[in-house]
Amino acid sequence: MEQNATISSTELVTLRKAVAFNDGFNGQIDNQDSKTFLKNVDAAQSKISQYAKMLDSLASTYSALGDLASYDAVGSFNTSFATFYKDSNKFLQSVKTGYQIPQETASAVQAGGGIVIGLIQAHEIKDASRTIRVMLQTIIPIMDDPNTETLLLLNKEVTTGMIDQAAVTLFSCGVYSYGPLLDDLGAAFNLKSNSQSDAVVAKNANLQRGLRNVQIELANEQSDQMKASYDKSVAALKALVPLHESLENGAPLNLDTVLAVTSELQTIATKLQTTKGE
Amino acid sequence: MANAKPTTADLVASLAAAADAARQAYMAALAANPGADLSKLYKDEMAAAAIWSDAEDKALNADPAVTAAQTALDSATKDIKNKLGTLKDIAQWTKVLDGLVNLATSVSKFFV
Repeated sequence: MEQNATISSTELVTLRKAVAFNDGFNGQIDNQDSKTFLKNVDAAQSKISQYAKMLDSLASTYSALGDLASYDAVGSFNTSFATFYKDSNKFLQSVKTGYQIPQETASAVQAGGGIVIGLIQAHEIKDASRTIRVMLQTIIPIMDDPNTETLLLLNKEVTTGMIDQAAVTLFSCGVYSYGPLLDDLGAAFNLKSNSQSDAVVAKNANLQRGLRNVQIELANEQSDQMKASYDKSVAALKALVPLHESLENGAPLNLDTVLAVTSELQTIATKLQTTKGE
Repeated sequence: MANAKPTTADLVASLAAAADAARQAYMAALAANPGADLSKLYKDEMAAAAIWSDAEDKALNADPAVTAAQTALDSATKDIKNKLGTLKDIAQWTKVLDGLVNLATSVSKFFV
């Protein structure tokens, strides 16, 4: 089964090196298809990076929501929300050309400034909650669409396969040793390679296939974690909507919940933030 | 096998599978022909990878003919995977991969 996943910035550099080697090895320096491939891989990673940035802005918005409840920080909330709105639009435009979240969605929370500050704050919090919820309900269906996920996440088999191809080619030319991989694998069984190991591997197709599979599995491990982070982020966004609905129906704002949401979003954003942000 | 009109996700997955099959074909040819010139196979491999990655960046149009194109591409991909253990001749691999790239190109035309 084909699987998609993001790759880390380190893997992206490795992929570039692998494609450069494969190009040169096959007499295809300046191959236009290789350039197109790498440009598109870079573009997909930039989109994920912008998504991570948007999640980070959302986390800041929740933090500001907590401040709004604690000391009527309307200005701070509106500033954070404006950043979240801007980052959301930038991200959504990268996956849906020409898409723009309606301006009315981003209406600012009106400052109270009255005498009965508790009541005014309660109104402001409901107002703030509504603006965040409407944004979430705009973003979630787009993120949950399998087509969006396909556009954002790279195919793991193709990307890790190209890295593997360079490694296998280099080994088949006899310029590298499988020693480090053999020792890494053998350590769990208290086994160590010897001076004959590479000669044995070179003659044994089953061994080569097994070691290549270990190599691919190692490369896949990080990709799988990144894919899990994406899925977790969409689930986290979905879980926030009922919290907002409850808040707007009069339930009190729980600052511990706000703190937990902020922390979770920041953690996911950090895991997804694999390449340069714009 | 594709029956209903495929989505963007379906099409991109078919193109990715074709690109992966092209890479596996190169690897199979490398194993069977150490030291041989595989530049033509590599060119096809990267052409398939570029077609897939381009589709990632584009939206699918609504042409119903895409179903037949995807079926043909999936069939060619399956054929290559079936031949991985048996086909060794570079010229034959080149012919098979040229065909795969042509089919992938026809699928990519449904993206705008």
